Amino acid sequence: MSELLIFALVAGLLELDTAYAGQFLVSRPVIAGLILGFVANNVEAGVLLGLWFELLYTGYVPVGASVPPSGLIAVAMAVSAADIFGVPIPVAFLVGLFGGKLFSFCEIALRNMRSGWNSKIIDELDGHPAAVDKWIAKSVTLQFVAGAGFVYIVSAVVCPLVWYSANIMPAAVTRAIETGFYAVPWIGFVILAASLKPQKVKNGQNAAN
Amino acid sequence: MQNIGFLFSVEPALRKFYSGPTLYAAMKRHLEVFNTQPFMASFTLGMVVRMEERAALLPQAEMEREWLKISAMKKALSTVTAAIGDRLFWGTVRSCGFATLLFVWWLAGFKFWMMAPWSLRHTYYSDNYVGIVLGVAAGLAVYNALPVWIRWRGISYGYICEGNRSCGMDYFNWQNVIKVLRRWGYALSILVATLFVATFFQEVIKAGLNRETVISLICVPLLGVAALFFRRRGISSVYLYLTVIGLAMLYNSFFAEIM
Repeated sequence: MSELLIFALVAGLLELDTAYAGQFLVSRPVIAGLILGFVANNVEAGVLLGLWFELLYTGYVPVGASVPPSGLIAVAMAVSAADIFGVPIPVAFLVGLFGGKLFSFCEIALRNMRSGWNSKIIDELDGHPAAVDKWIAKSVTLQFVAGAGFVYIVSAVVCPLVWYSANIMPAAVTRAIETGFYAVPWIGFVILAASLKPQKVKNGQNAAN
Repeated sequence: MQNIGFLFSVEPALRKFYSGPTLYAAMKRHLEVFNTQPFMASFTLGMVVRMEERAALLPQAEMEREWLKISAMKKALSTVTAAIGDRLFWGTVRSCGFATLLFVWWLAGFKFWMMAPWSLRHTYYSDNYVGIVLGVAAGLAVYNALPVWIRWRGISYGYICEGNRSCGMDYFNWQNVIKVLRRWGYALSILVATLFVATFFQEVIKAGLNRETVISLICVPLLGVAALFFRRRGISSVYLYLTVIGLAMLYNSFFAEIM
């Protein structure tokens, strides 16, 4: 469990790069997969899972207030399932997928909670300009704890159950999950190329989008 | 949602321009709703700092009128920069960085992820750590070169404009940048996809025709068409992945034994 704790802490730190500190895109699934695979002592599985999530999530764009599934949490859950709990990689991918989607609901709840802080910050600002620093630190800490806590708790609860299920599930189900897993790069490359394809507007001028 | 981050960024400047109740009032003003593409926020930051600097020197009545102008300009610029930034960074640079990473991995010989399923199933191993790191470094360089430059220079561009002109929007031909990056990213993504397909066919030839390779040869083009169809309909690719699992389960349950 100490290995899972360290893993979760690293995932929590990487989660901050998504939108809270830095945003140097080390939280992208393909990069985070490498880092988390290194922490879990299986770089190849981390790279493969990170790459697969990057391909599947290529079409998701975080525009405005929309909250897409968390690629970082998805790859963290998948790598922890595969490397720490020994779940087969295609099944671990499915675990990560649901984990990433579940965390997006947590993210929405966290954002709604932080929106409610505005009035408290305004009240505290009079005479205490350092209140801003305090609330920033609180926000960043909350996000770190939420990310790390989610990975730790959900992995600790779900992954052993998934490992047990993976050992008893019918072969038809296992093969089907494998088929889905190996279909991901084909889906992802088509989406990647389509998302970058320059488009023409009706008046004949090339447009970027 | 980004309001407190915006305030955190301009606070050092506000402390230089204002003091006492005026400082607290200025800080509260900048807790108004603010949302834009994060890398492009630097233009608004620079512009707001310059406008606050000028406003602080004005008499009280004119200062308050200037504050209203600052709020309006902040909203307007954040909207414009959001539209440009979302298309440029989330829609283009991010995908270009990913395509670059994959291409450098292929160039550096880190190719195990290209293997066909029957090979990849047995081989999750590569000792080409130099290749892995080179690809990641190249991807990160492409991901970050333009954003870091914009985050740095955007502040000075925004500061220079003083809210009077287009506030840095005319320092760049944004449409051209997006067009060039898309063309490069598209070419790279097509190249990587072609290499992926070529590797797949090589493996099919090596493995020979058996049930798995024949089914793969039939399903791969169908999958490509389905991915395009889902994208055009605005349906997430995750649903296509889950559909594949569902169809595979049906096939394995009912048809696999017959065939």
